[in-house]
Amino acid sequence: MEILDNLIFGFGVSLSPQNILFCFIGAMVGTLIGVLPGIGPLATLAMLLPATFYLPPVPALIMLAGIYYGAQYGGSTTAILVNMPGESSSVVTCLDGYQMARNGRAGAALAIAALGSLFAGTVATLLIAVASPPLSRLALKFLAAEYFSLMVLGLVGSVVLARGSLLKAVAMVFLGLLLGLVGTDVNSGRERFTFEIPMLGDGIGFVVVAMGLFGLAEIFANLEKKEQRKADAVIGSLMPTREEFRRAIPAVLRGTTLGSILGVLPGGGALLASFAAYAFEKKVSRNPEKFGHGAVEGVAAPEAANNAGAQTSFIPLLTLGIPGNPVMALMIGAMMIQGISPGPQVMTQQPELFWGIITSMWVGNLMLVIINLPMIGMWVQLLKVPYRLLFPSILLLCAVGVYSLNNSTFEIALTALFGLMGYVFYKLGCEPAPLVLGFILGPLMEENLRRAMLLSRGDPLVFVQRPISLVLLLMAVGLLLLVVLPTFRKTREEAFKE
Amino acid sequence: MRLAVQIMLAATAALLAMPAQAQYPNKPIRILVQINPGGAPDIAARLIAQKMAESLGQPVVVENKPGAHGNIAGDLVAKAAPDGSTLILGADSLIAINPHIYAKMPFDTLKDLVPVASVASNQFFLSVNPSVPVKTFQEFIEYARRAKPPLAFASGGNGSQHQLGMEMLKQRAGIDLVHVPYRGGGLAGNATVAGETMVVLAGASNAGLLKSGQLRGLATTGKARSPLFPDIPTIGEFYPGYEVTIWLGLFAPAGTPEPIVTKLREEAYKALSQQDLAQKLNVTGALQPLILTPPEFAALIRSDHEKYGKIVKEVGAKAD
Repeated sequence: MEILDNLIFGFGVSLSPQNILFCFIGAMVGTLIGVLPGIGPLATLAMLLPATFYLPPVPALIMLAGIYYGAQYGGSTTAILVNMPGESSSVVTCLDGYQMARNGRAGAALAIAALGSLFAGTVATLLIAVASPPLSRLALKFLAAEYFSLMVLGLVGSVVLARGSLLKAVAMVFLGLLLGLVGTDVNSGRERFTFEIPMLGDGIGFVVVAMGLFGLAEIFANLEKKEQRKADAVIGSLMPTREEFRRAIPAVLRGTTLGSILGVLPGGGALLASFAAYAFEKKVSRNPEKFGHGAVEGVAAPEAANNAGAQTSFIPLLTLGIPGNPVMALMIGAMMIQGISPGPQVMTQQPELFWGIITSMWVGNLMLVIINLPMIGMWVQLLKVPYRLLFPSILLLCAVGVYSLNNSTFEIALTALFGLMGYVFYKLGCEPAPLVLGFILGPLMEENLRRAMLLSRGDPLVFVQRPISLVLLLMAVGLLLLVVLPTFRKTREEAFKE
Repeated sequence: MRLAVQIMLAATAALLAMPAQAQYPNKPIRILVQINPGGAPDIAARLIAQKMAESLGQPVVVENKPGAHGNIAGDLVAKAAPDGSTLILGADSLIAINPHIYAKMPFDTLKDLVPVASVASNQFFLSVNPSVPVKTFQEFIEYARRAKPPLAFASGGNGSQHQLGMEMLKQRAGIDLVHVPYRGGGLAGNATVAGETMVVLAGASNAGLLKSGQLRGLATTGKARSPLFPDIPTIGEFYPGYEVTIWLGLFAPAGTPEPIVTKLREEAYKALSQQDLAQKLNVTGALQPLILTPPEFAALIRSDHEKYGKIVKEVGAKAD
């Protein structure tokens, strides 16, 4: 039982006092920002990136991972209690969760959400443990040509699965690619788009882009909204009825399956998983008319799915070093800051990091249930902290964080600039996520394209002669065709409308 | 009161001895480092700073100013006040290679900085992927000469020492190898383990791969064999005069008064000769302390500057 051994080894790492502490901090911070609308896991991760520099890699990544899946929990709390999704991935939970709360079943809805998430988290953890070793063995066969094709697939996927207008998503990817080109070209040693500013010679820092576009822009956007907060729900009994359990269990199973699959796909993750699970649940239900009026399946399925998706999206990151979504892109940034180049070699060269993170997810999920159920009352109180106190302190922390990366005031100015840019994107309805993926994947794609061409002595056929590369390219073409097909476009629009 | 008098007397004596820099160091000293925390120059700077702070009685702060292959940190120091309060712990690549690969240098590494002390050195291992059927350096040269298409070698980037060292070997041995640049030496080593490239000059970041046998070390590039692998010959044993030694040095802005430079050099060398520091350098950065007399250090800088200049011109490496 190699897997069992690995898991035991991993628990040995994740159950060390230090790692438990950071797992707890991550889960706690995640729940906190999940509860607070307007601050998402992406923004938080971006803001905390510089802080992780002062930690050893294992606790740093455990903490960041905890924030991500912790936010999925916290987000559902406010969705159910006050009809305010703390996270985009808990938007669908509002539909039936809040209705359950109005029917006096708030406690039951919260319990179902928490237990469903715990179950999904457990399954997803096992799935990562089982699927990662064979996947990373496959990944060791990945050389420059395969990586290039994989990045192509990832970029196409990020466009297809992006929310909102397809055209805008394409434009954002290209903008991201262009921003990624700034700096010194690895192959020729020439500087590109640096305008003779030496500070741009090494390219634009990832933290700068992410913190600006997600962190600052989110704050700017929130500032113009009127504060509307209410926290007056009655929680009621936490114990679901037998009937509620009976209906929730199959929904959790379906949600977990769907979420686990969607999480692995490039561009996937918690958000897509929760929407898809809700839509699927409605379709298979015998009485779909109950949805939207407090159907327990409508809480159980998406909550299980978003948690499963949040966790399985670590699979491409840990095995291939490819970020499936912007949060994973930030995790890559965090790994690179720690001097770890993400990829299949992480599992063999740093098993304590790999298995430690995986098992910490299970520890974290258990912790979340323990934190969340008794503390629901407190989280609701937190909604009363006014933004005018919250935001200046966050901004200050951002500035300190960026400066501490390279001791450069130039980068603080650059972050502010990206914050403004992010605000403009927000106004224009352009999702910054494809931009960030383009920014991360673009330079890697170019590097691998040119490296593959160097190694093949300039023969472009290398991309279709190697079987893995060919399959990946065909998948990318398939995805593109899907987008062009009118039926798929309709479902895509529907899926994101729900 | 008596103490105050004594201090005044001592201060007066010192003033008479060195009129201009009587109280040096009278304020905290900054040592700039051209990379982010963690790499060899940073580790070396932090180790030395700690020892110097103890014996100078002033805080010695290490500040990381990464960017443009060290030009950002170098420029800051070159333009700082020449009073011994701002120093840089720079790598040889900044001093001896950047002037050749950058079309526009913000400062002159030889004229605007004065060498204070040599700090540490290290060497590369010429290594191959274990699937390459060669066990010795001579076999490798023969194999590479006949290989069609030529073997690919990985480097830490265009104009990096990984590349230039290999280009010098290509010239000396009359072999052809295809240059494939990566972002840093660590990735270049990984690519050679994966078999994407076959040859690499493995540095400190690849030491683990050599020890575990994932890379096969054939020869070292330094002046003498590595104490870690005494069986591996130097390339210089086959091609006399071939040498690529990586070094780190402490530099001050040009115009820093000679007594201050001497004082700093003495402090640095005192720190470097301590056993615990040497050990930490070796464990964390695979570095050996390097203690050279000022003329020796000046000669090393000059000869490396010339050596890299020549090879850059011949292979056309650039980073403008």
